[in-house]
Amino acid sequence: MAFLTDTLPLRPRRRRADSWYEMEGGTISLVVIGAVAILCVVPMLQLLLAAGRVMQDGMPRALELLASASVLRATGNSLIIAGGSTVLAMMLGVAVALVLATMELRTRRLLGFLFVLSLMVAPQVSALAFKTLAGPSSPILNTLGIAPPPGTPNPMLGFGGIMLVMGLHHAPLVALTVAAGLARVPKSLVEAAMLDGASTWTIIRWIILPVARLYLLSAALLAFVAGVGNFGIPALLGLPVGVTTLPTMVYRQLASFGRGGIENAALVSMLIAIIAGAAVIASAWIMARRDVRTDGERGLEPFIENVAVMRICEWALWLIFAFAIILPLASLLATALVPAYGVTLNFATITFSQFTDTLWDQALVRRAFANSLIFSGSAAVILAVLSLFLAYIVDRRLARARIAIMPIVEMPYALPGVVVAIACILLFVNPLPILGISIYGTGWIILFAYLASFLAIAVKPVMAAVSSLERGVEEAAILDGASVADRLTRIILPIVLPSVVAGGLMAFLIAFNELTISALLWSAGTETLGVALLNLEDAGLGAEAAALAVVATGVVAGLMGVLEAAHRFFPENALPWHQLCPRKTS
Amino acid sequence: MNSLAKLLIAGASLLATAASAFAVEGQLTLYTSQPNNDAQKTVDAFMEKYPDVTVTFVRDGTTKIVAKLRAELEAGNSPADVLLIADSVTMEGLAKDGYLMAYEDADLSDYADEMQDPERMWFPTKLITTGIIYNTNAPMKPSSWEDLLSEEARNQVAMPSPLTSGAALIHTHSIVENLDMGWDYYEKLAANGAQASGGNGGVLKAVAGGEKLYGMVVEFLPIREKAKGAPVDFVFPEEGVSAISEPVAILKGTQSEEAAKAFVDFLLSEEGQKLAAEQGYMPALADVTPPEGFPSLAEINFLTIDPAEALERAEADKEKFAEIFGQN
Repeated sequence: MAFLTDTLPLRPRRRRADSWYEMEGGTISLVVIGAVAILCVVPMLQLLLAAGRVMQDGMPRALELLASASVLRATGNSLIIAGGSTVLAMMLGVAVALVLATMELRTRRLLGFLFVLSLMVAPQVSALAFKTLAGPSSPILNTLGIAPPPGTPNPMLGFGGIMLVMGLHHAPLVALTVAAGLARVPKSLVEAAMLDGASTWTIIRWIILPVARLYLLSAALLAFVAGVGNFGIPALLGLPVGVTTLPTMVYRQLASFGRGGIENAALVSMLIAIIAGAAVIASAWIMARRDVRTDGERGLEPFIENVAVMRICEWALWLIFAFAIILPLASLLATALVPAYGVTLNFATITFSQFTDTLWDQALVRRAFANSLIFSGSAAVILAVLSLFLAYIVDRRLARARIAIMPIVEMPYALPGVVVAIACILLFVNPLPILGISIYGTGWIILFAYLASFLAIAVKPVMAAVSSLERGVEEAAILDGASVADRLTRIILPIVLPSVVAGGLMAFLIAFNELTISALLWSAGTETLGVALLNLEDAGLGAEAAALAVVATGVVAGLMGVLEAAHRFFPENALPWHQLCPRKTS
Repeated sequence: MNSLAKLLIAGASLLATAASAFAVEGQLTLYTSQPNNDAQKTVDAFMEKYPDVTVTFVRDGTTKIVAKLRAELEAGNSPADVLLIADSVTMEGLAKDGYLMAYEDADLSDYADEMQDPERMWFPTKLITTGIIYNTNAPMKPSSWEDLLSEEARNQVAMPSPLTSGAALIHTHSIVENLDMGWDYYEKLAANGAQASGGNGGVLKAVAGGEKLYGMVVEFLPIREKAKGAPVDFVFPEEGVSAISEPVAILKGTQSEEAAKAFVDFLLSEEGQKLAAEQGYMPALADVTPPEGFPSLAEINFLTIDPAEALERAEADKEKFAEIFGQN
């Protein structure tokens, strides 16, 4: 470590051999605690206070609102839809996770990539894609000549369609959680069973699934929470036929009654938060009781080598993905290639004018691209920096407070976007104290909500990287008298930089596609891509909406491709689709 | 000497007036219910003429955008300067509540006076009627509102909701006032499986996409889409069509009064009216040729309403409609 003395200024300080990491970083701790408090605690307190005010004003009125026919119906719809979509997401997600983790399929990386892509595609884009795929005017079905006759309602509209699209959309979420569980199944257990001549099915049924059962439960709860909070899918597939869920109800209340409805919206948001929060807490409780694989033991690796089984599974996955992912996206593209919605696509009608000019003529679309890039880009940069501090300080100085801090950081991400958005409106509806300026109705409120919501995503890989760092690296520098800031910037950062970048990019991808938060927080000039899509669709501009969705999906797929190309620079499994495909070590 | 001075002053003031006409500048925020593509073209044409004015627009259904606007106005911080929405009844409601600015000097010399607001708070820019759209593959070609109650139309009718659309609000009032059946007409529609939700754009999509075969819709959408090849057509029903005038108004709190006035002038000018006709709308100015596909004004049979009563009954109409078709 001699070279460090050349570059780092010598700053003699008293050393505490055992707990140096608990003694310094006070300023950073304050900054981190302050940021977490402002981003994650204050908005939620506002929401609690507002809901409390409504109840105080008159408990009977509050109860009357919560028990009104429309709220009860929306609650029932939300529960049915979240439940139904969870069943589908579990069936597909568990199957995909198992196949990819137990077999070395030739195309597994591509399958994993495609599967995660279907999660990263915005939910409202998925909904639009499926809507264009089915129904009498489906460009694909019409080209094949099997479209239902005019006068047939679109099968995607209503409960069935919402549950189907939502289930498929959340299946990768399930698969990722299950994959994390499979990685904790000791490889030695499987090997022992194989030596005893256990069949593949026996191993999966009686060893792998039981060991990973808590992850399965947790995955189901996650999918359920995601289903309760999802806005984009029921907005596109439910609202046109009068099926409302809790999030779409809050949205409509605000859209039709303006801020006058905010107090009621706060109360309904609390209801959503309670439903989602119960599932989140249950999931956390389950995960706290999980079986922990002892260090040094290897996790599950592909062990199925039966060629026939592998081939069948590979074909089955491709077939499912073709119907669930590729076909809807193709249909979206086809819808964007006709001159007017409802025109059949063929060589005479095909036009690329949507992409070359019509779409870009709209200032709304240009502005939405710029806004989404700016909001999610700046959120990603700020979150990346904050994540480094947070991970470092929680791992060192505030190690004992970790158990309290991390759930607080994860809370806004776990709660549905509608809840966060309403909390932000309540927080910023009046001008800021002291400064006297209002950020309500500006882009800042959207940026703030993104920071609060997506901190948990950005910090995850950084946390993993920092806690796996050997303390010895820093101790050597301390001996040389390097300050905490020096160590952070010159030792820690270079080592964990890939994780910081990966975390920031994941946050960017999710914020770029986000609709729920901005649908409630946008105003003139701050429309995001999600808002623009909803707006074009609402105005009846089907081809434009499809073209916009295609371009946004292209951006996401391109960014994921860049991440994949650069995967060597990231820590193992920093990219979600790699988690799905564990490598074989021997 | 004295007369020379007068001449000089007159000349200077003339120059100043001319200069101010050219130097209209600033930021304008337009709240509108026009479809995005039409609003964009209108705004682009205006900005081409006034390069120093930047216009940002926000679009939503009339009922929704006015709800947003009212909430902002009550809180005292709306960015909106100009409003271009479907109907004058909603405008009149805003004028009554003191949110609009009168523009006394607007040049209305080419317009018939009975169309205009005597207080000059809002100005009609077009004539938009609501009639029946049908998918050309449908078994029946409807010719009257009553046809939508027939067996062929069971579960096949889509219509916009007054909870989103200003045109639909006026249309509902017009139908209830003019058809003998009154509200029974809507009760029967609901019993026949008609679906009401969202705005006119959604109705167009449902019928063009074949998910529904018939619909109530503002005429310019199907006439324009038909020209592009979509499998839809439009009929003016026998009983008559409802009409709205898509008025424009200036908000009282505007920071860019000159630019806002220039925008109103532009929409009312022959140039602005020709642009509306190009976009497929029936212009408000009688001298401008209507777009292709429209019958002459004399051939159209209108359902008439009393605007004051429509304003008074607006909330009750919305509630009654929501009671029949649900809160969509």
